[in-house]
Amino acid sequence: MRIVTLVLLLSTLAFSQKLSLDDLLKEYKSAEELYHHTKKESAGHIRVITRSELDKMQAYTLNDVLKTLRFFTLQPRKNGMTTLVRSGQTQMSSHPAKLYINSHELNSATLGNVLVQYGRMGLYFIDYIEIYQAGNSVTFGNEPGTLLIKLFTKDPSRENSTSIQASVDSFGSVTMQGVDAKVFDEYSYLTNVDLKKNYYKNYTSNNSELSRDGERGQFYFKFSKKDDYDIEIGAIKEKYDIFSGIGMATVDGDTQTNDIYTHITKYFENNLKIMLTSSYEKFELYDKDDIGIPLPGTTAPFPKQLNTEISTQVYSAIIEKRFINANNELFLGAQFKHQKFGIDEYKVDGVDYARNWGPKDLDIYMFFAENLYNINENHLISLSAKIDFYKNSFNKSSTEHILRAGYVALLDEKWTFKLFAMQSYMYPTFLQTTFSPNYNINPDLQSAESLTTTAEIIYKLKDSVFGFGFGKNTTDNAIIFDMNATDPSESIYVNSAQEKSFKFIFANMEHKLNIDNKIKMEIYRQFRDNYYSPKQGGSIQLFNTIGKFDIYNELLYHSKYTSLEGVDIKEGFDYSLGAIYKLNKKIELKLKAENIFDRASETPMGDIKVSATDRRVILTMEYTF
Amino acid sequence: MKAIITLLFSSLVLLASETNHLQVKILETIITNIHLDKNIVVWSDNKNLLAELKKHNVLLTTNICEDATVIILQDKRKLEKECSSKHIFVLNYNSLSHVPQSFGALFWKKGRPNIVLIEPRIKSQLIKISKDLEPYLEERVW
Repeated sequence: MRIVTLVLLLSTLAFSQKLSLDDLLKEYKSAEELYHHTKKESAGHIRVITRSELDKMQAYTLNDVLKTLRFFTLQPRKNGMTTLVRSGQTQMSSHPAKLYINSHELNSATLGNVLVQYGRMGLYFIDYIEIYQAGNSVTFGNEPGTLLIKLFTKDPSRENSTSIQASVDSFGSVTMQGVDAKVFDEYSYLTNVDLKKNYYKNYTSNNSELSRDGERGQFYFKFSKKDDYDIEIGAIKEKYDIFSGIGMATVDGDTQTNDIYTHITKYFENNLKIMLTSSYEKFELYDKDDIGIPLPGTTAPFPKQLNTEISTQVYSAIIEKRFINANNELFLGAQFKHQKFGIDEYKVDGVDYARNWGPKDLDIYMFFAENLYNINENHLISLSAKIDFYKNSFNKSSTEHILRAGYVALLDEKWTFKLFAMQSYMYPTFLQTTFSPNYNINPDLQSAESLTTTAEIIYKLKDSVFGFGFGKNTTDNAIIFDMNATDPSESIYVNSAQEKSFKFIFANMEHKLNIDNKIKMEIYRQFRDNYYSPKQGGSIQLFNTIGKFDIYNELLYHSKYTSLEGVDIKEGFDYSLGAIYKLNKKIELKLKAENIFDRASETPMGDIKVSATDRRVILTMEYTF
Repeated sequence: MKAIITLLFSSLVLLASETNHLQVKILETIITNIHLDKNIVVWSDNKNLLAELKKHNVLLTTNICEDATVIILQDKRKLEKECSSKHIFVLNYNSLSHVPQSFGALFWKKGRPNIVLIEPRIKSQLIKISKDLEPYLEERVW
């Protein structure tokens, strides 16, 4: 009996030691996650989606992450693309989201909403994502945003590999992705190629077959010399069927976008950094309609075909310097940005159609500063200021400013408290002042001014984190879409004479059962006068590892709502389940089922209701060389 | 000053210390699970790593490469000729190809830390390993 006990004891010890080494590797990986080096608690209310989470979520596109954000609903658009809509608002509401790849801001002057343009971006080259909500630090530069999403690329020194993965789904879509990353002494590179042929559920409306099928290609390359410079090049080309179009009974059409950018970062001693960027984007829209497309300046019978092509060139130079002294850090930055907008084609029924467009050039001079100061060992004060001078080609100029104050306190080992107040602005977009294919432009639009105050309290235990936050936003001179119900083409963006405001609350928790298994939950609600999209929602995410299997469960809830057009939409329950099987060190097999109940939140489009996420199954094989 | 500093400047320093600690714990676990016909004395070209190993006091260490029986090698260019015939554990997978005497590696690949032990080299160097290290054995360097 003693011998049996001894054998059992020894085997238990051996097993636990084996576990111990594997667990140590997992702990090491977790402690070495790259976000530890960039995450800024003082920069706002932050959520980090780690490499490990992105892998387990099988987050193939940016939309797979965006749809899990609190206060937002992922909605399909009439042109076949998708967008995020803030709780209660509509797709036409102004939405200054900012999207970065490393330090480069992806521009979307052409479409006015970066999340429309890049929602289908592949994430195979992305290591982790930081999301700052409800205002953020001015140190990120560029024009202000209320939602800031930072994508950080994989680190070649952590990759040292070439990986490819191929996916097919139940609609017949095919995706091929590849990442290659290496280090040569002090030099390194990262390359990503991503090709997709996407198919979606088709609909019938007004006897028209509606399709948003399409194809896209994506390329990214980064070459770096350690502590010296980074050179980044990115390009995206995509083409999608126009879906329901902007007319009443689309019979043919598509949207095409082309983007290319270069970003150079030069690092100097003493925390000095200079960045130079240039980008070019082009958007083409072709829409053919059986009944007619209401366009500004036209009357019934409306034209049946629209061809338009617009483009934007953006050039930017940024200089940043940090002064770190004892318990104080001062950040100073300056930026010049030039945007040149082009309307290369606007044809109605095949004939050039003359319209008065708004200002096509815009120069912005930005100066920003932030000071972080430790009052004492547990209390941090952050003060920021930014002055932005705008001048457009109509010789109209304005000076805008941002003031921000933050307070972060470690009340004890368990409690953290954050408080932020931010006075900011929202400058009108080209699509509001200069060009729109289907509504009137308003070159006289002025900036909106907002005041956002937010607070968050975080309670940390050994394996659990609980968070609760709330806030209020008040906007003067808000830029609102004045919809003309009888003739939608006569709609126009205007500055509201009435002050607009909303409040919000959220609560979340994360509990680690052990290093392999955790659960995340969140609920939120917005309070405003009118709701045209879900006002409340929640999410549950389960991350599990059992042997060679990674399993992921996700349930997203969005409340019922009545759209601006008066259509009642029921609650959304978007449930996804994913599993990854590690066949060996080189091969992983992945299976993911999205929107399993086919109950994701819907958006009305004429006489049909459409969800951004179709019910589909995706099968993927990944091979690492 | 310690608590608030985690919000600001020293967070990276504390983080580096934590990751260094974990890396050393992994290396200690590996080295204590190998058996040589002589005492194991460790030297590393990575001075921070060597200092952390000394602090932990789990393995015998030395400041002189020639006195060591096991070398933990960060940078293959720092391997002195007199020490190139010792048992070498490398911290970069490519070094397995460039340092013939290396028998194993702790390295990053595809965003994950990995351990690998090259079985033919272990046998030729008369290194015995415990059962717990067997899952990390590989036939050759890829």
